[in-house]
Amino acid sequence: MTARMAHLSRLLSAGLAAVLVISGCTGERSDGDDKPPAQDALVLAPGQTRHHVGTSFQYGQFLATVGDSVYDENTKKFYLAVRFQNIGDGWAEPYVPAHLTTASVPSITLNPDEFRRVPPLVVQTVTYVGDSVETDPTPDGRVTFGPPDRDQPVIALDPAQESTLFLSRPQELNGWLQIGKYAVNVRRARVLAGQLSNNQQAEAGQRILRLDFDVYCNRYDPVGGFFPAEHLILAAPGGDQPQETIGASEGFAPRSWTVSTGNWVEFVVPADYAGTYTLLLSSVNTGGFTLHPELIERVALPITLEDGEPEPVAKADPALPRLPTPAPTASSQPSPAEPEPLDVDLKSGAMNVPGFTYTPTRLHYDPAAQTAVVEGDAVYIESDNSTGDGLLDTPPQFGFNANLVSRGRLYNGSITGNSVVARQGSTPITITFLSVTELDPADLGLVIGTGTGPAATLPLGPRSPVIADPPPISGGAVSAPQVTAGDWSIQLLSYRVGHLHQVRRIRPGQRELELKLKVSASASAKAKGLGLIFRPAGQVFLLSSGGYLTQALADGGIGDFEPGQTHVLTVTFAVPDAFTPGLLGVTVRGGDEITDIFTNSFAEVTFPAELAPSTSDPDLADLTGDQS
Amino acid sequence: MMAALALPLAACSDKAPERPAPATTPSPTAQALPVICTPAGPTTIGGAKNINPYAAPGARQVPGPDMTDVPIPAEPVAVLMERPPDPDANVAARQPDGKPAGPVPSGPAPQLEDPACEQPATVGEAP
Repeated sequence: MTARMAHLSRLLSAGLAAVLVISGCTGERSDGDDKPPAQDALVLAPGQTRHHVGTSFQYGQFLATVGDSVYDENTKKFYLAVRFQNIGDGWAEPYVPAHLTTASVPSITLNPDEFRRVPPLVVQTVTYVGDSVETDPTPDGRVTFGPPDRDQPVIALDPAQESTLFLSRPQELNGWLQIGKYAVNVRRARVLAGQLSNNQQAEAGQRILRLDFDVYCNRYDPVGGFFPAEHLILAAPGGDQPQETIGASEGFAPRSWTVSTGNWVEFVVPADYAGTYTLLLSSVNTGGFTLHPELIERVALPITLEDGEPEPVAKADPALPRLPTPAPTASSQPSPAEPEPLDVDLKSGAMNVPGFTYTPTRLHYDPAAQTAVVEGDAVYIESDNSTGDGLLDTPPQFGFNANLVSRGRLYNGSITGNSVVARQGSTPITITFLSVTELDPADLGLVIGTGTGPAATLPLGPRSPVIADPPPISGGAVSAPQVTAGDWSIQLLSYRVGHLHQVRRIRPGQRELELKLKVSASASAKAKGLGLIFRPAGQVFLLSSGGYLTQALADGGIGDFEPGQTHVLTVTFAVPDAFTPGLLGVTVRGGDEITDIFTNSFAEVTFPAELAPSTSDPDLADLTGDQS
Repeated sequence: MMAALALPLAACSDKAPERPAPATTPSPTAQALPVICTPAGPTTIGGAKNINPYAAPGARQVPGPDMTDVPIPAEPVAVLMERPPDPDANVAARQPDGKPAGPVPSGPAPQLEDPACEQPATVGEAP
């Protein structure tokens, strides 16, 4: 019998009147099977009645699922469980006020137990509690979410009655715009209830139009760059005054003949949004000082939005785990039985947090102090050119946001003691979680991230609601010819795939592909103004559609050469989570346009690179070192 | 690991019109290296005539719905790329005269079938 089962048994034998949470969650990814995961029965106290609501809606950057409700006729309390799943770009708190109305009661505030900052793809289950509810509100009750100045979903507690809610409406769109040096391919359009970028629900009477697009650039701009918020505006049907974005991906400086994916913009559209809009693209930057902005010319792409059908919840994002119906918990009530202390080994393996691997090894839980401690070992995996000996070198710091997940709740943690990680070997790291009111080792999960981008998650128990994400770091050898471009001779050596850098530049659903290369300067190379420099992120590209090149995210540092000298360097690209090693086209340029802005020609060589099948060596130490 | 190849580069530009004939497909040998001319002038945008599905790496197609994947070459392919002029250069200088800043469809570098790699006409005038 597990500790959790024993705990239940004790409660039942004592005949205690309490609402218990039973969070039977599984950590499996969706595989197309619509059958919900297995779920335990909710144990009800005398006088309690459970109802199933089962409705989903979008609020801000969360997909909210109203699960079950419980009415307690003895205490006149009403409990409602809502699971908030972060479908947005970054960490956010699902702060959504709610109130209950019935035919006889104008408004009762439903108080949530707590809200936490939740990383992308992770869920938090919140129980709303209403006091002084004289009768079971299910037959005619409605719950309104959010403040009046925002678009408010109104959920009927009786599933047979109609609710007022909004889910993402995907739109058919694959359009092109081209002007000057830029071409934009809009590949995806969605009408949303809120912004995925900053967790803002649309104002009352409005929706959000989000467009995802790629940018092709045929000429590097040494002064400006492509800023989605400046280059794209939207004209409403019949409107003569285009509007600017209310959210957009970051600007960037694309080099010549490159393609940049993963860009997005968000516009406000009316709630009755159907119609033909016009997306306008300019080639020049429109921000800052512009003498005659009215003379900036643009090209137009008509975008027809239709009412359409909402996106099925189960298919909102294939990366999201499937979860059972949320059940409420009376977390505000003191537990009638004292949970037992825990001191157990953890054998869930390693998780790949940005720039490190972390292997939790032991869990201590002190219910009296409401403190949980996770011990583990961290290994630094980031590739850089630092030896750690320089005056300005700082040692790697294991500085992350950490959460322990149990029973649908998230508990904040912090690193206690040493957070400096050795550049070689493993370093013990301890994370302490406070105010842990209840902890079930069977459904335990660990979440660690930078607080801005996607987080690493690791199930610690067999029924954890989190999945192991990202997959373990993998890598292997690269087979490629040695090539020469300008003064440089390049030989690719190896690759790694994972979350390899602490500074995050990738989005949810992406990983980093790092190539390690040996670069030699020719003996006859002549240094220029900045020296004899090879900048991997500006000179190594992946061959992409139409002969355009995918630009790197970053590199492990530039190489400062003497003629005839050789360095081993790294360069990093964003790839989808599903990336599998194989044959790639790699292009190397003899010069970098940023360091040599007056050169209008440069040598380019494109060659095949075969990435050997990956190995999941947790260290991959032989692939990270040798940064000479 | 494949054999090391150090490939010479051949150049094409409008400043040096007399050049060897450029190839437009990848070549497995260093003796027949493809040379892709990348003219500095504007090109027609969006026309399928600019698309060569068998284009060598470096022969950038016009971005658009007809764009295709470029095959990964079996052997290294070296080219000398020349950037097109910035179509938005001098935008600020033109605006006080009341002339619009664009559009000037420079387009990506198309392939030239003309061995002399002669360049199209001028760039920069608003339509």
